[in-house]
Amino acid sequence: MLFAVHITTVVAGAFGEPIKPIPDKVDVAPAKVKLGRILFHETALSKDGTLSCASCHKLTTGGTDRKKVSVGINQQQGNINSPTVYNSGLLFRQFWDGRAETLEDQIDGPIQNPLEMGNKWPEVVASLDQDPVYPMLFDSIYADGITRANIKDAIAEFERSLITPNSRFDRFLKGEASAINAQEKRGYRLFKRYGCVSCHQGVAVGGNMFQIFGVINSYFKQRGNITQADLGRFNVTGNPLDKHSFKVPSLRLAALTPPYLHDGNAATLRQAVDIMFKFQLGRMAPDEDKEDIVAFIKSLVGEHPEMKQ
Amino acid sequence: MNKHIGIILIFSALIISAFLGYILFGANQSEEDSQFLENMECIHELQQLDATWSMTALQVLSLPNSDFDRLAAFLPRFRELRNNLSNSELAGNQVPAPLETKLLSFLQQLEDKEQAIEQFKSNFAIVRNSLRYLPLAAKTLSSKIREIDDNQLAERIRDLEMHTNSYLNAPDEDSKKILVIKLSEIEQELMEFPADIVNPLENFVSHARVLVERKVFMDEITARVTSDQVAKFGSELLSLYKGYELTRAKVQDQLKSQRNLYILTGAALLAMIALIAGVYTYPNAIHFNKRLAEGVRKRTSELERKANVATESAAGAHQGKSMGSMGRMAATLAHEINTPLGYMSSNMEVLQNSNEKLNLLMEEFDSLDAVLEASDTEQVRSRMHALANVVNATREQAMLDEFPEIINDMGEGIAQIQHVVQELRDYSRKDNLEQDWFDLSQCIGNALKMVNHQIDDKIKIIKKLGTTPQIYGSQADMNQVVINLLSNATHAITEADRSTGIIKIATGVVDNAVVIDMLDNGKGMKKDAIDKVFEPFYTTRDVGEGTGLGLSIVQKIVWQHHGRIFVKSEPGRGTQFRVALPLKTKLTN
Repeated sequence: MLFAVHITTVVAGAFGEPIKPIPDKVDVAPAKVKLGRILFHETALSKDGTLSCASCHKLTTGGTDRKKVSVGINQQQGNINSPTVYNSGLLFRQFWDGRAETLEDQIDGPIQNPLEMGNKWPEVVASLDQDPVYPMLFDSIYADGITRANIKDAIAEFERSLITPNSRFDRFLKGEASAINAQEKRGYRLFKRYGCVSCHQGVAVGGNMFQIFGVINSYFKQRGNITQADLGRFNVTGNPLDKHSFKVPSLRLAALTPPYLHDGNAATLRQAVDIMFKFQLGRMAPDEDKEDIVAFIKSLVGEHPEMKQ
Repeated sequence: MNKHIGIILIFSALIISAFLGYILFGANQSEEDSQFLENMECIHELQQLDATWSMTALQVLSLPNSDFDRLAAFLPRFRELRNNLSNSELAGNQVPAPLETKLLSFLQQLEDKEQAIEQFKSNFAIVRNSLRYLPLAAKTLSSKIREIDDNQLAERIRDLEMHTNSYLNAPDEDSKKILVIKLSEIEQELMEFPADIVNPLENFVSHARVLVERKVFMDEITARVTSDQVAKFGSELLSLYKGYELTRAKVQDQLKSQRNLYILTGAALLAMIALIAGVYTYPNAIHFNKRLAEGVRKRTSELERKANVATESAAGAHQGKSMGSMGRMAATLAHEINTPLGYMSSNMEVLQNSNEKLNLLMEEFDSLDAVLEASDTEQVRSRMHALANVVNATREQAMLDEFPEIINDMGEGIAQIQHVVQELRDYSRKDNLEQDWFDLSQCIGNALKMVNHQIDDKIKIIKKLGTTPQIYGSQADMNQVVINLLSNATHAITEADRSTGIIKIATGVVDNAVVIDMLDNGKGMKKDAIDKVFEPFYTTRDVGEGTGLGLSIVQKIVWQHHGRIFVKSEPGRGTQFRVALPLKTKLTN
């Protein structure tokens, strides 16, 4: 229901466009958000106490660590690029393969993944219990104090609060014609004309469907070295049709979160756009068009207090 | 020893009965019922959600700038309901096999639906893009080929285009096979073509292939998304579930009535055990009861000797009794006031109606008058006729001759209400504390004067006034006492329908008390009336004939003077009231 609740804004200017502006407000409980923020930065969540959620999803750098893949405890390399935590509440599923249906479910992943935080829930609850402040914070919100469910609830609530409304493009959608410049407007038109918008649409400009990566031409054939992670949604459903199918990422904060793609192979937006054209759209396009599209994507960046230092 | 065993037996019997009683009325029943309803609703809602989802998918197909947010929005609720169902009793192991199988099939259908929606979205995006691009790809390719001036290649491409289009318009297996072969062929030769051609050709071929692979699939997946499987399986599940629930309810009822029978038998046995135990424990109980009964009888006769002391002299008890009849007082009061109000109101209506008729009459006369002014004989005559008619009608309907009676009735009603209010005031007023020494005989005299008009000639008043010392108190109040008693006596005689009625008023000193006796040979009262005679608003008279407050006022005044009042009566023979005031009495509030 929470996901549906976010899709509330239908503004006159935006009606009929495949991209919708991010709502200005999200319905969250302030007390939980405050606690969730603290937990989001809590390194005791990891087994060796070195990592918190913010380590890989840093709020001041676009909600990611700007690495190809993240580094877990004991300097282990992750197997897939970390997506941004901003606007994650607007996505229909979490993880590239969509295996978590809610934000709460997603938290189980990194906490228990041996490559990431490598911890177990009883230990997490125990360390928080021993902390001088947490018991009081939890008791003031939750009747049953520090539990796995409540920890997840608070963190998820905080994550839901991390929406980035009021981007220049959103203001344009709402009717402010001068919010974006000519190039960005052209970029948007091309984005639609070339068909990028078939997958990168909706309020998150993506994040509401799965798609094969390498629709027209095989990306993986070219790149080689196929890993488990490259199988994408197939890992969850076992359906051969889902091989190499991934959740379409949101482009909202793309300008702030290089490198791109699930394997982090595209270092810049332009490179990502090139790859998209080649493998997803199966089309050629002149440089100016691609530059315009990049400009458009940059205009999607919205605002949130946590984004600044 | 006997006693202890007996007590233990009794106690355990009671505890076990209580426990049995709890089982008897304890309900797991309602919990099961609500579970059943919840599950039914769950299945219904899933069916509805499924239908709406399909519709939304079709909408997406038709709208040009649609996005998939609307389709994704169904997921959370869909999941929630599905989880509820899988975790409900339906999935439990007490459920019979056919129902369980049906549930699993239904859940499978739901899962298929979810997957179908995902495939639908992905596929739609791809097909949409390729369909839009293919003509453009073909055009680009053609122009490139024209540049290199390869007619054979141009021909091949045109052929390929044609086949692709015809397949897309009318997909069938054979043309698909041919197309796929053609596409593969040209793809394999890709490298042999001039550099300029490679990319556009590659694009065209890729998109054509994608469309060939996915166009038919698109139709299939759309059919799956909009299929009614969920609805069908859902309905089957619902009817199976309902049937199962009905049989289970029947079985439950049977078990319940069986169980109830066992419990009742058990309870009866226990009761017998308790009784027997009780008898053995308290062998003296029977004798004890006899003694108890005797004691009660003695006490009752003792009380009966004092029967004429119908009330306690303590002010507190008085208060308590008054409180007890508050309700009756309020009701009677309401009735007393409402009745005259009632016929006053209906009389008002009559007056109103008559007034209207009179107005009509006036109007008729006015028009006649106007005509006479014009002095046209024909018109005058017709006007006279009309007037005559109205006058007659008025005479009949306006009830003019009943006016005096109506007004009189209303006056009586008002007087009655005034009377009630006055009595109420008398009863509840803060007493007039004009205290002084006075003579009882004066009160008697005053009372006789005031009640004189009520007394019929048939009634004879006998006065036997002895020497009484002066009383300190409120003479006005004591007047009231005598008036009320006298009034009552008069009415008793009137209603008795005697040829001669006698009222005897006597005063004197008896047993250290100043005594007023009021005797009459009226119709008397039965025992139950005597008991109630001092209660406020208690009256044996007809409605509207008395407020029932008279004697309660008397009693109150007597107590305020620290006196007592007694009554003796025999139906058909007469009644005696005796007021006894202590010598050198002092007034209390």
